[in-house]
Amino acid sequence: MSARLKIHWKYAVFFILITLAALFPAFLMSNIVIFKGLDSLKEVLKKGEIEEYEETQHLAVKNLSGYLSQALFDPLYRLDIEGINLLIKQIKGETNITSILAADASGKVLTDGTKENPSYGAHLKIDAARLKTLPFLITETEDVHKAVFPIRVKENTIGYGEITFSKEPLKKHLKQHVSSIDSLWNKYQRYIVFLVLISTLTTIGVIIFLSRFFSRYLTAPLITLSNASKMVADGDFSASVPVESKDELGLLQENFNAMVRKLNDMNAKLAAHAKDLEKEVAIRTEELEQTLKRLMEEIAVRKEAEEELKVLATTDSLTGIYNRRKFEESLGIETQRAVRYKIPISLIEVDIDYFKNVNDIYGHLAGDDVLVEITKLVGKNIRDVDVFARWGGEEFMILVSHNDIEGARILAEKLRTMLEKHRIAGIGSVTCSFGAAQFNEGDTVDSFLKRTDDALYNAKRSGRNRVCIL
Amino acid sequence: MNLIKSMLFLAFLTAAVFSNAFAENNNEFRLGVISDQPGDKIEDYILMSKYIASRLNEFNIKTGKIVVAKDVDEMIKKVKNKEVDLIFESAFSTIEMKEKAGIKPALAVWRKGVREYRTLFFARKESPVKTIADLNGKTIVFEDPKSTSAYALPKAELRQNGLTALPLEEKGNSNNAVKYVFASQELNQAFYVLQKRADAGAFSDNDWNELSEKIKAELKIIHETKPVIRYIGSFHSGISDKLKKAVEDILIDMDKNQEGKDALKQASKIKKIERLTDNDFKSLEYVKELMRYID
Repeated sequence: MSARLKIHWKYAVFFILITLAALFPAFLMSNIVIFKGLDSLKEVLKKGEIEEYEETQHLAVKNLSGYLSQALFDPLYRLDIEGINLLIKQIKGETNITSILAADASGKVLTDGTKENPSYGAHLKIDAARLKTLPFLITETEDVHKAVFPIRVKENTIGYGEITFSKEPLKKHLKQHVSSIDSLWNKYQRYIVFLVLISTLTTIGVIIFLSRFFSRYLTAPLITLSNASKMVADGDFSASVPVESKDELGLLQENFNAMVRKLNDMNAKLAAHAKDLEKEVAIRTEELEQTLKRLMEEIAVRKEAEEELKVLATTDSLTGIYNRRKFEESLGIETQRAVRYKIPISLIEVDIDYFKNVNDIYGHLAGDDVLVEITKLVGKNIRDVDVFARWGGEEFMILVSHNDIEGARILAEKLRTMLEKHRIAGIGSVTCSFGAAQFNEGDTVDSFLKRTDDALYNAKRSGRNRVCIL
Repeated sequence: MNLIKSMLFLAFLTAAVFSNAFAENNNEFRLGVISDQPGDKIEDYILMSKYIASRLNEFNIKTGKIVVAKDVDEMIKKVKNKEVDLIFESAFSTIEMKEKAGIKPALAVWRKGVREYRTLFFARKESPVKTIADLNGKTIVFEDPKSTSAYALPKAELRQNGLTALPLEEKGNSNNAVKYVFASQELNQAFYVLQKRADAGAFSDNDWNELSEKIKAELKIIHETKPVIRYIGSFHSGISDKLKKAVEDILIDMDKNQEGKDALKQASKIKKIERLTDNDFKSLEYVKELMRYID
């Protein structure tokens, strides 16, 4: 058996119903076509009926004229008016003829068949010449057909007759017939409407059934599967779907449940494994934390040492202020800033007068004490922004930012005065010489330093304990 | 034996006498009419016959009977044979039967709603014929040889007026006679005149009234006879006065109850029946006079 034939009966029903629902418009269209066709047929029938009836009446006129032409001859010849009346009465009783008139050879009406005989004496319009050869002449008005015929045997014409057919019976007959056709048609229309209504209701029923069928057997299980899948996706492996059928969908549901069970087992194993891993990780983490702690401690120690080294690298070990290397670094930076931002900066070089004598007289330790004390005194009397460093031996440098040469001179003078007045225990007064210069446009660090040094030289040469500027 | 023979002879005579006995003696009332269609007449008059018989119990009459004769002569025989108690016939036949069989006219019968009639002579309006005398040498149309009002009476009237009436086909001096033809129907008579096949016609005033107005407008009446009773009831002369009176009373009262009306209607559409008056008897005399001129 081929796979195509393995479709479950429910889906077969589903497809059949879908086909039926789809056939409904075709059915509706065919009904419309049949309806239109029958409507046209009805009109043709009506028209045909009218033509046939008129033809029949024409034939009746012809036959009756022929008959009366002969039948009236004898009674008219005998002037048996009663006989003529009887004949007229019989014919009128059996046909829908309105009137039959019998006239003499002049066309004067002798009798219309009635006792009252109101037509007596009237004159028929006779076209005698034509009636010599024709059996009858027919004239037609809206309401009647009239036939005039000769009453004759061979060429012997003894009178004329006139038959009048009212169209009223024709109209009545047609009305009845048309009414009967219309009635049938209306009945048929009702059938069609009924049929279409039933078909529509059936189709609606089928569609409702389909939607319920689709919802129950396809959509609802799929939604359940979707929800269950989401639960699984969210990590809830307790999800399962009911297996409601043994068809393809049922198989899918079963497979889904099996898959979820398998995932659940795997998840449990993974959880157990994760738990072991967690323990391992905790141990490792602890170890790492310990190692890290140790490392951090080592880093701190190293950092401290580094800082210490850094301080040692930039400061003078005796006085604790910046050493020459650090000062040169700062000078480089500040001169660049001064050039870029056009900030006035000045440099003061300080040299302790006759410091060799101090060392010689009081020893190097006393000399160190002098250096330290002077450093403290200068450090206290300059701004924090000013860079103060030991240049070497008994020489110091003060980089005064945001000050021109005048500002530097004033500061230097202030410091000279202060140092001059200060008494160092065991030694007494120590003076210093000051040289100051301003960083000018076109200066380099070296030219700047040289000019400052030149100013100091001038101060020294000029007798010391003074401030010289360049 | 002679005695026995004598008694048997007497019994035979008695039986012979009573075998033709009248109504009160044979338990039935016999109504006589003349027609060549006995079936129709029996059907027409049977109700009347029963009606009469059922009211004559005191005369020991149990049933009614219709006696139909094909013509007057046969009826005369039946009268003579005492086969009939009451005869309904036209005035002319009644006079003939009275003359030949002794019947006694007593009742005027409104046959077809008509008590009496006159025969009218008519001609075309533009015709030069203006009086009955002008018909001499002319042609007149009658209905039928059996007709009283449209043949016998007008023919007699012509003769009474000194004219000779001869059939058209009969050879003779037509200038001194009125030639007559038959048209079978009263209406045809009118058309014979209108279509100039005859110069005049004659039928009863009732027939004249039946003509349409348009036709009457083209005709004129040139003469009319005296009135004649339309239909007459006559008793056999042998009927007792008491029975005669009783039957007359029954017939005269017939139009006063529904059963009687129905019976009258069925019997030639009789409207009612009356006793003959003196004028009626004079009319009969006139008829008798005319009959002298009938062949």
